[in-house]
Amino acid sequence: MALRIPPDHWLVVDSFKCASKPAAQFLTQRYGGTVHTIVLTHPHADHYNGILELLQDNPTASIGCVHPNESSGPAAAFDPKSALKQRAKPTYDFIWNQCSGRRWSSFRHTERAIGEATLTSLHPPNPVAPADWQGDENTLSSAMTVHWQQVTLLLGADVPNTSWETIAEEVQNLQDHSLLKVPHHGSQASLHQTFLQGADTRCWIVTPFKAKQLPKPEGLGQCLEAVQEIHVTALPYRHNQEAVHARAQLANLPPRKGLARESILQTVEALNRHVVASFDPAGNAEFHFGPGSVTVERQRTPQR
Amino acid sequence: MSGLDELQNELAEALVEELLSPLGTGQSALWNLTGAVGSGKSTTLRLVETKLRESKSLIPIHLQAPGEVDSAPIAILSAATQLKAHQMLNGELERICDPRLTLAEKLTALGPTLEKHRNDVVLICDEPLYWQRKEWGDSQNLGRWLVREVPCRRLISGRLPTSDNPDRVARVKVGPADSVFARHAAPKQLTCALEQLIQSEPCTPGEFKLSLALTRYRSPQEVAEQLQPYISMGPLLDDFLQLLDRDPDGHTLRATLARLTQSRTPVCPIVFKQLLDKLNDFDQAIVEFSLCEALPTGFRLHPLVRQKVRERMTKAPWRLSPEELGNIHATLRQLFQQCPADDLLGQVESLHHELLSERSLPSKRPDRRIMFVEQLHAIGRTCSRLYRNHKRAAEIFDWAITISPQDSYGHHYLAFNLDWLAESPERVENHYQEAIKLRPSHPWGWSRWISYLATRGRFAEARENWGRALNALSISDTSPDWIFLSLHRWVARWLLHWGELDFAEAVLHAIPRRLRHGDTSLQALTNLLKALRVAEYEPGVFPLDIPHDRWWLPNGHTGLPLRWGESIRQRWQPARVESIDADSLTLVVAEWPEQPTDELVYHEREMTRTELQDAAHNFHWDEVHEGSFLELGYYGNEEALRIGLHRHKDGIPDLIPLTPPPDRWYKRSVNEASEDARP
Repeated sequence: MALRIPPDHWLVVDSFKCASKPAAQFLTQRYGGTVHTIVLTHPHADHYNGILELLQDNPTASIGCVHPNESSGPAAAFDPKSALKQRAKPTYDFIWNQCSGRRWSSFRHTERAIGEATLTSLHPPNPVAPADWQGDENTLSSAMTVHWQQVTLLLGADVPNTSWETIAEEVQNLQDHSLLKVPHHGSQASLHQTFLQGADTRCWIVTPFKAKQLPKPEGLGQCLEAVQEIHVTALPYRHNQEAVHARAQLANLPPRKGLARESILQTVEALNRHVVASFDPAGNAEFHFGPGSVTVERQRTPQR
Repeated sequence: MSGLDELQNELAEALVEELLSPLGTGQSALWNLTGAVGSGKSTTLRLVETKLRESKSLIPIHLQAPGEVDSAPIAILSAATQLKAHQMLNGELERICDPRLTLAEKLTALGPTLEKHRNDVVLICDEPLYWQRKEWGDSQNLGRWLVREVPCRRLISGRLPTSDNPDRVARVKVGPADSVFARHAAPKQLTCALEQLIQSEPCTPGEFKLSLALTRYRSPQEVAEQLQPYISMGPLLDDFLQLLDRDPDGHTLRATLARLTQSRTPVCPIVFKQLLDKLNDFDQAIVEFSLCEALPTGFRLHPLVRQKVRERMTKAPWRLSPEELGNIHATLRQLFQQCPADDLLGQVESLHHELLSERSLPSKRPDRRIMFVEQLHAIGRTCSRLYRNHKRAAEIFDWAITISPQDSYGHHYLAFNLDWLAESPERVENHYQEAIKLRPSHPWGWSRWISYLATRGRFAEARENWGRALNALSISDTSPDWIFLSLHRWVARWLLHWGELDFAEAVLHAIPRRLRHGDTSLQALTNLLKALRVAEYEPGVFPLDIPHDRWWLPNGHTGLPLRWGESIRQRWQPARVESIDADSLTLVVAEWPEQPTDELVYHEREMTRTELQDAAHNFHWDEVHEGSFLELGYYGNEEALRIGLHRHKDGIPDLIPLTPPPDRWYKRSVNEASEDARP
C-alpha cells in the first residue's frame, strides 16, 4: 500500500515486486515526492518482497517493523513455498544492522509524524508474550492508523481476530474510520467487531492473496454486512473481466478461468490492479479503479 | 625375497645406477617414478634412498610431507634439516625457519646450497603434487621450483606438479597377487581370504591389501570377482569405506581410523598397538595390514586412506568428540615431548599436538617457534572442521596474520570463523576483503565474501562484487572446472537459499554448459532453481526432493501400484496439500501437460478425511500436513482413486549443504531485537 501524504511524503506499507522491481517504486518515480517512511508489517513473502530495494533506493526513508523471532521462516526442507520464505531473514538482518539509524520498532502506541499526518501503531504490544513469538507471524503484524485532518485510515495488516481483541482493549473507536484496509485479505478469521460496526458508507479495500484464494465469498459477505460495498484490488484468480473495473454482487462475481500458471506479477500489468482513494481534509473521498479491480456490492433488497 | 620384492629391488637398482651417472656441466636431471596409487612408489623410493646411502656416492635428501595440503613448508624444512645434518647448510636455516618469510623466499635461501652441492645430493620427493593447496598459498611455487629451478638431481614420484616433461621416466610394475603375499605375510586372521584371492589378476600391493579388507563385508570369491585389470586402489577403498559408513557395528573401527588420521608422522609400534587395542583381531589385522604402511620409523595410514577418512570426519558417523580428539593429540604429543630442540620437525609436531590437545589457547602464545604460518593453518583448520571450535580457530588465524600480515589464507579463515560465530562484523568484512586484496586470483575468497553479503541482505553489493570477481579471475569458458565449482556453484547455492532467483540464474548460466550438465551438484542447483521459479508464481505442487527433471516420471514417486485389483492405473496427478484441518483438506492438483514445456493448469480439490483415508494407498491421515505431496492415481475407467503419499528422503539429492549456518546473523539480530524490545 502506498499513501501520498501532504505536502509530498510517501508512506509505503509492505511491498511486492512486479517486473522484478518493488511496485512502490513505479509510483514514486511516476508521481514524485519523497519516500518518508516504509513499514514492514510482518515477515510473510507477500509483504516483504522488494523492501530491501526500497530501503537502498530511498536512503533517507525510515523503516518501521517489529523484528520477528527465531522461529520465523525456518524452511521446511522440501516445501518450495517455505524455501522461498527464507528471503525474510536477510531482509530483517539488513534492517536491523544496516538501517539501525533509521529504523523504529512499530510496537503499539508508537507514533511517527509523516508530513501533515500522524502514523500510530496499534499492534503488536510491547513486550510480546514469549508464547506469541512462537506462533503465526500474522498475530504480530503491525496494524496502524493514519490521521490527517478529518481523515482516519485504519490499516489492518494481517492481524487476526484474536489480536484485535487485545487491540480493542487499549484503543477505542476503531470503527470510526474513513478507510479500512481490510486485514488479512478479507479472511473471516481477521474480521472483528471492533471495526465492523460503524457507518456502512465507509470505504473498505481488500487486497488478494492468490495462494490462499483470499478473499473468499464468506469473508466478503461478512464485510458487506458492515459496509455497502467493498473494493477488491483484484480477485485471487484470473477471470475474463480483467480489462475493466467490474461491479458485481457476491452471487455474480466474475467466474474464474482456472488456476492459470501465468502470474501477472511478472509484468507491470500487476500495477493496473489498484484502487486509489483520494481524500479532502473533510474526509470526502474520490476513487479511481484500475482494470481488473472489482467493487462488490451488498445485495439490494428488492423494493415493493 | 618375494616376486614383488625382486621387481622393486630391480627398479631401485636401475634408478640408482642412472642417478649415479655423471652429469654434464650445467646439466640437471629429473627422474619421474610413475605408477598407480598403491603400486609401491614410496617403497621404491625408500629402497633407492637406502641404496644411495650404502653407495656413499650421493646423499639422498628425502622429502616426504605429511600428505596434507600446505605440507610444502614441512617438506622444505625436512630438506633443510637433512642438509644441515650433512653440514651443507648453515645460516640459511634461520631464514628457512623465519615465519615472516614466504615460501618463495625460503626456496631462494635453499637454492644456493643445492647449486653448490649439485653433484653431491639428490632430492627424492614423494608425491609433491599433493603438498600444495590450489592457487592459495605459496605452496604452488614449490612444484615449479622443484621441476624447473632446482639444479641438482631430483627423483619425483607420482604426477609432476607442472606440465614439464621429465628427463627420465620409470614405472613401477605390478606382479601377480601371490608375489605380494610372499612379502607382506598377512596376519593369520586374513589367511583364509588370502588363499582364495591369491590367484587373482595381477594387481598392486595396495589393491591386494584392500581386497583383503573388503572380505570384512564380502566373501573372498565376490571380492576376487571385483578385482579386474582396470580397477585401482581408489575405487576399492571407496567401496570399503562406503560399506563401513553404513555398518551399524563399525563404530570402533571408524573411530580408530579417525584417530589415526590425526597423526601426521608414523606412529611408534607401542602407541600404534594402544590405538588398535579396542578392535577385534580381524579388524586389527585389516588396519595393520591393509590400511597402514609399516615404515622403519613406525606405522601410518596409507596417504589415500588418510585423505579419504579425513574427508568423512566432519560428519556422523565418523565424527570424533572434542574429548576424543583432545585425547589422541595428548597421546601423540607425548611422542614428541623428548625431542631435542634442534629436531625441528619434531618441534613442529610437538607444537601441533600441544595446541590441539589443550582445551583453550593459552592466554600467552607459546614460546615455541612458529617456523611457517602454515603450521597455524593446519591447527586452525582442525579446530574449525573437527573440533567445531570456531572461536579458537579464529584465535589461531589471528595469530597467523600477526606473524605474517600478508597471509591471505589466514585473513580469509579468520573472517570465515568470525563469520560462523556471527561476531565482529567489521572484522569479518575487513579480513574477507584483505584476503581478496592479497590474493585476488583465488575463487574461494570471492565466493565467501559474496555469499556473506547475500546473507546480510546486501544483494546490490553482492552483485557488484560478483562482477569484480569475474574480472579478477578472468573467467572464461576455458577456465578450469574447479574455479566454477569453487565460485559459481557456491554463490548460486547461497542465492538460491535466500530466494534471489534472478541473480542465481545468471550465476548458473555463466557456467559452461558441459560442466553444468555433467556435474551432479550443479544439476541439483539447476533443478532447485526451476522448482523455485515454479513456486514463485504458481501453486508449487512438487516437493524439492523430487528433482525438477524427474517430475513427470510415468510411474510417479509414491509407489502407487500399476494395478489395483483388476484395474490398471490410467494416469496420476501430482497434488499438494494447501490446507488441512481435523476433518478435511484442500489439495491443489496439477494437470499433466501435453508437452513438458506446456503451461501447467491447476485446480483445487477438497476432500474429507474419510474420503482421503479410504483412498490412501500407503499412509494414514495423521501423516498428512500442509505442504505434503500426494499422488492421485486413477484406475480402470477412472472410477477408482488411490492416493499415494511421498515420504521425504534425508535431504535434497546432490544438493551441497550450506556452511556456515545460514541463520547465524539473523539469530544475532533476533537476540539484539529482543534486548531492544524490553521496555
